[in-house]
Amino acid sequence: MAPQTRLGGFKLLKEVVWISLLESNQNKGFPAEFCHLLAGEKINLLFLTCGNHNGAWGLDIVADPDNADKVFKLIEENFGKIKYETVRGAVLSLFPHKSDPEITAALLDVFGKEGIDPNALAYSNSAISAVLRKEIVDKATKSLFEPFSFSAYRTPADWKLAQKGKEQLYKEVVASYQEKQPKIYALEWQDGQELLRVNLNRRDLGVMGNAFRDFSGKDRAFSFLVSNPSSEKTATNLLFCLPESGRQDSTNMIRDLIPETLMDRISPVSVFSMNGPHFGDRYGIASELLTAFDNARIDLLALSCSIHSITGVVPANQGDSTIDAIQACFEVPSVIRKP
Amino acid sequence: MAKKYILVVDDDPDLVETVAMMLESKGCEVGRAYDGVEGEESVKERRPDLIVLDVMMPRKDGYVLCSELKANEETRDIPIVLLTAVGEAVPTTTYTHADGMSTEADDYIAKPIDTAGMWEVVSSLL
Repeated sequence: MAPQTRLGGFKLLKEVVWISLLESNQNKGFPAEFCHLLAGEKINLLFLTCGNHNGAWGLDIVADPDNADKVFKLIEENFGKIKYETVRGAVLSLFPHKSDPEITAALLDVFGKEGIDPNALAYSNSAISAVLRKEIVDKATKSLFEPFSFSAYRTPADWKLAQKGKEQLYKEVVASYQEKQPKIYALEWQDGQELLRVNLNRRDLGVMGNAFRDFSGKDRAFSFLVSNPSSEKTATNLLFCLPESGRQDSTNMIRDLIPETLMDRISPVSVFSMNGPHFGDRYGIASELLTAFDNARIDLLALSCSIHSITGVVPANQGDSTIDAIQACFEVPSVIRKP
Repeated sequence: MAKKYILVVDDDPDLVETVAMMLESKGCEVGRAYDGVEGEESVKERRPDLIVLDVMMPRKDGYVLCSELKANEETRDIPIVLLTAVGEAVPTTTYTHADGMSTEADDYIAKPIDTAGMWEVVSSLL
């Protein structure tokens, strides 16, 4: 048995609704329009990923079940022909990932082995988050205790006990943040990255774990990872960023493992990450950012919002204008450039 | 000179990473814990030069851990900076900045934190 990796813990956001949308009408402003409509209804997104592929947008969102009907109505009234699917489930977030592909590899391995196929994946600066159907949540939670150990939660039962109390106080704290210009703690910026987009069957996600393990062996740390809806229902698009290789190393490594897979690579790109107080609990944050990007004509390639962070990928030559757009709508105390 | 070792304890893992990145960029080594119990265990495993400690956390909150560490002869000299999200805007809560100082924390920083300002507070206590 492989040695366990010690991690900090995991969070489970239960009783949520996942909605996946595929917009193929080359509507560049779709994510901003959609998020603006949701913000207008004060609907908070607990999880959001966006990915652009040749002008078509795939979005995965997670909302509170009380808001689900309002979301469906907004989609049907405003984007009637868009394909979408939905399930009830939970968001499982494992932390810290330490940007180490080995940790993501171990997670995908165990999910593959247990037959757990997440509906969506997202990445914050600390956590990998997976959307899971209700029926597989317990199985997925238990499976984490095979490759990982948690100093605070030694067993699934310990973890459940740690979740009780303080809910009302938490709500009061969230309500106290209503700044006109939301403040973020810091904007983290990383240049010299490449974005890979791999289209694969959901059941092959476990095999991707082996590719990620190879990246780890070559000392190539992740700066971004999401999964995104594909036009084929059983498939998914996996988008991730690594330090630029300058060659086709990354794609060749994946082709060796999954020969039939479709993939492409965009390079160079820059990755930004920002987090603010209770961003995951407040409506309108993603809408502000996406609208600012639209106005500044930023060609956003992919976005991930989970836990309390927003992480995104833009073409490297739009770095300065992206930072300007973020600073125009958020109070940014400092920009930390990662090596 | 040996790197200063700072323990960051907060149940928001994204904030822990942001604070850790800021401290590492200043040449510090950073330990991470995600609730009060884990923070307590981390202090026993390796004595930090300073603790950045959130207030509202599951299992054991920051005030309780701060009080315990300050009551213990072996740990009372470790500077503690409390991170508090709650102040005058939430009058019904039992958590206030004043309570933080009465638990003998060495300083506090109100959330949302300013990472540059935070380094000023931390470096003054190292």
